Amino acid sequence: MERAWPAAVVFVACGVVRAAIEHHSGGILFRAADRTIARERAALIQREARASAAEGSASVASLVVQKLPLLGPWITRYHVAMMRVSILPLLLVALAFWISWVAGLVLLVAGPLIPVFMALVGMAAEDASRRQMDEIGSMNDMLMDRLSAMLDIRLLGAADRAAEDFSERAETLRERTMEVLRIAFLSSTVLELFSAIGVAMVAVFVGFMLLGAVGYGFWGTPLTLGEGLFLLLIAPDFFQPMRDLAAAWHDRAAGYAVVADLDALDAEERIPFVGEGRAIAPLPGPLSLELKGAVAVLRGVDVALPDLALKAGETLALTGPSGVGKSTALAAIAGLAPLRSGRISVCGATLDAATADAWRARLALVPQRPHFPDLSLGEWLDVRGTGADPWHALRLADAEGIVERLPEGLATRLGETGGGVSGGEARRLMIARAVMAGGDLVLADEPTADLDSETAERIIAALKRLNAEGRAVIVATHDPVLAAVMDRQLEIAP
Amino acid sequence: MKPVLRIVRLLLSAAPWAMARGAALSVVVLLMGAALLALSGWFITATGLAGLAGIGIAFDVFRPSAGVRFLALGRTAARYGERLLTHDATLRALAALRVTLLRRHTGADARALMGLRSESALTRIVSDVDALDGLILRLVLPVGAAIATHLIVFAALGWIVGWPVALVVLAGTVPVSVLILWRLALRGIVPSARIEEEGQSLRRGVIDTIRDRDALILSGALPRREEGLLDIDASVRAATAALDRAERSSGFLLSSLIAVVAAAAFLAGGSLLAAGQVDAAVAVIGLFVSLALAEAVLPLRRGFAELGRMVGAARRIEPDNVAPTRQPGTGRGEGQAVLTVVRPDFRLSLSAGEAVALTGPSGAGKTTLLMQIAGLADATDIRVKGLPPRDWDDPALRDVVTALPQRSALLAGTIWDNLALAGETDPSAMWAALEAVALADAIEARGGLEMRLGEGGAGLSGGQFRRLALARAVLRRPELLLLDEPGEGLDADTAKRVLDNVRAALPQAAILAVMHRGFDHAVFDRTVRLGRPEQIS
Repeated sequence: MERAWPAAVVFVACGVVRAAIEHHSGGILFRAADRTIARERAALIQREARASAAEGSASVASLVVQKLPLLGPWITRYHVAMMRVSILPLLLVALAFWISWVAGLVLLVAGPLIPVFMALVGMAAEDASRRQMDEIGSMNDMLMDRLSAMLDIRLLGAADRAAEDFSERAETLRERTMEVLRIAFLSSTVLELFSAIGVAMVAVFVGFMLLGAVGYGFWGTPLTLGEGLFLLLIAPDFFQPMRDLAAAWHDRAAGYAVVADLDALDAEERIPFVGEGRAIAPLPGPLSLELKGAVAVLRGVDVALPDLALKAGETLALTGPSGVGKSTALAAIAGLAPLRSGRISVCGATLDAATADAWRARLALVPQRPHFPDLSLGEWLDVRGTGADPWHALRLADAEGIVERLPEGLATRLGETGGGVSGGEARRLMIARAVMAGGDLVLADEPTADLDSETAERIIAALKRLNAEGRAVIVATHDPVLAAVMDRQLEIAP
Repeated sequence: MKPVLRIVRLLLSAAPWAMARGAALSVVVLLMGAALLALSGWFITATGLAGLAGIGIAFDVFRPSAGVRFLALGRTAARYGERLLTHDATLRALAALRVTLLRRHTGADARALMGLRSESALTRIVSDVDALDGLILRLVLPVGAAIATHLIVFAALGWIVGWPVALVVLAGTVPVSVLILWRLALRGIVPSARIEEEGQSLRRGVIDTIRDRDALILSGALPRREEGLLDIDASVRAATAALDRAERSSGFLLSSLIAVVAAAAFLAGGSLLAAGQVDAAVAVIGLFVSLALAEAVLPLRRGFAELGRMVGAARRIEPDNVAPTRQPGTGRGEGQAVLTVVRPDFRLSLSAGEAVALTGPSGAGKTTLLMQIAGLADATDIRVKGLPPRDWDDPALRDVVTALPQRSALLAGTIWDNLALAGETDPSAMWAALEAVALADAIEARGGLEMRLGEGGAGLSGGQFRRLALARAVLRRPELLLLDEPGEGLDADTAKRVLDNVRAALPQAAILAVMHRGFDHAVFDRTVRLGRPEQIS
């Protein structure tokens, strides 16, 4: 017992030191992964809105939020497992040889077989995990699909049918997934089998050597009990790195998938806007706008814009068939689409990177489609964050009744679908927002599209009120009624 | 915790037999691992002592070495079986959780159902369901297996080696591990909730910034918005780091605990040896077994670190949050008029075979009225066959009333799958309905009823999409058909033809259609205006 105590203390000390090293290395690895994720996230956040790609905002968001963290396990587990596999087994087999060549030989024979199986396991597991990921993913897709169609399902009285159908499909998915898993798990079982056989053979050989039943396998002096136990304990550790690597193979596949997504997004064609989008003092001087031979760059095509000139307080309708470049003209005037050639002059200066931000401080834009972010209506209306009173703008846009009707008024969060307001109401709110943004030129893209004539009239009246307050207005429209109330109409020929 | 327990019960009861098999094999794997290390340790110590004592030849090596081989191979096989069975059970549980969730949402009203279309609501639900998927595989099964293993190991050690050693292993490992893991779960709650919450707001923020890009650039707000998103990102990552620290520190504590318990088991074995109760080979068994038990305890970290996320997810998915608060009705209307609406400024009475166009300015409440008639929103002034819609037995009401909502949704799957939602599985009836909505030719040209649609019905044009949804409603053969802008996305001629065909296909049905244009169509007997007192006939 006297000798047992120091041994126990040393054992505990070693165990604690090992745990502490693991704790520390885990921290280092986490920070390394965190830095990578932070870098990629910041890059995406600062690029995707500035120069948007064709990729939908939802898939960019899911890349930023859900997929980027998958790089973590790839960095912290796969790379480490790879490094361990290339160092530790060699070291341990050398140690084993040093004590007993038979034990070393057992490991040496079992060892190289493993990379062979590793490759097989790797391929099978990667394939299977990809398929399985797809299966699990599609179970979620099925759920999303049915939840978003739930109103229809309910109206059709199909709730029970849909649930039963879902269970049947889920059952089919399970059967297919299990078929894949049977193979995938079998290959990793082969790996475990090798390590189990290796460990068992080392244990048995050591036992026989200690008994003296086997008269070979050691160098000179027979094995001591301590050496035997040591061999027994390092045998599982010889195989452990390879098992870790097999377990981390899935992380590698997930990491590669994320990298592939990032690469695809990097390769997208992007059109930057003019200027930096900063809030600065507006361009001085009386309002004037002139387009001369301007050709705007759109994704994939160049669009020739009509020549036009506009002064303070004037109104102009851009008309013409769909796709002729009405919206692009508005975007170019706002510096949202850069020019390939030609020139846009604003308040006597050329619209370029130096003047764009100051020019935009004089503009307000009413886009065609509403988008209500996850903000209160009050915050959304006050897009420049000035804290000004929104009611004047709401009155001008004929939208005060809408806000008064909402139970929470300006504190209402409309949500992404604008639930709670109709299409015409959303347009009026967008006009109020444009008024709040200030400026003396309003650009409105199809402000009366898809509206009944009564609602369209209210929109037109609101635009007229904006003009009466001294703002110039440019609308892009198909609507002859709206076009007729503008001072001038410019038909863009295809 | 209560919501989590309810979800656990739901998941376990989804496949109790599969769960039990998986759990039993998990225990077998852990026990075989402990036995393997114990037997090997005993074997080598015993042979070493026998060799030293010079009695090597008399020592029975065959049975122990056969035992080592059996345990090693048996453990591998058991592990294979365990992985298969637990995954099988988990997949069954995943399906059950999703089906339960679907069923719960069927009771919601129109507003809630429309809310389900928003991407953020869907992502949130899926993310919660994903979090709960880990409950079984990472928490319930491993914890159950660890407890069972420790109890069996306790009994076995007490019997083979001696109760002091068994007690040291059990009392040393279990209470302290429970404390460490519970502390991990508590420390994880706040960061998990923050990761989830801020993750969702980062997601929303990225989508909002990209979609609202033009307005943000125009108002010079883009740099400020980007900074805001980076702040959210920093906060998400800080919470992730806090969770990682908690997980690593409990890993450190658990590993240290295992070293301490192994040393204590070794000393306890030593004292039994000194007392002459066991021989040296048996005395070391405690040491090896407690080392092997690390395999049962260390993997529990993941599950406990995620417990906070699971609790939040379970609370949101809770039945109370989505289930209808209203008592379902049980009645069946028998009235003469199919539909009557009596409001101070609006009156409507509709009998079988009549068709009425409903007009009015945007925002007047036309869509809401249809949802009220369909029993998906509250109203007291509406009678369907003499009974308020919400007092109807729901399936009975669905047999009488069918509605085409303003924005209908289709499922990923075949045309057949989508039409079969109406409860009609006869292909000739389906073709007749497709014919009525002037879609039969287009569908036939693209593979017939087996034509596959992508997620959300992708693969059809807007007008075809609309007509397929209409065909589905026609297949219901309702007594009262509510149509919310049936002509949307169709050119005037097609819209006209479709209305005529629908009328012809359902000669006895009362039809109420919200129309922005085309309300002068011959199908309609009257036009009713919502939003102004007068009624135009």
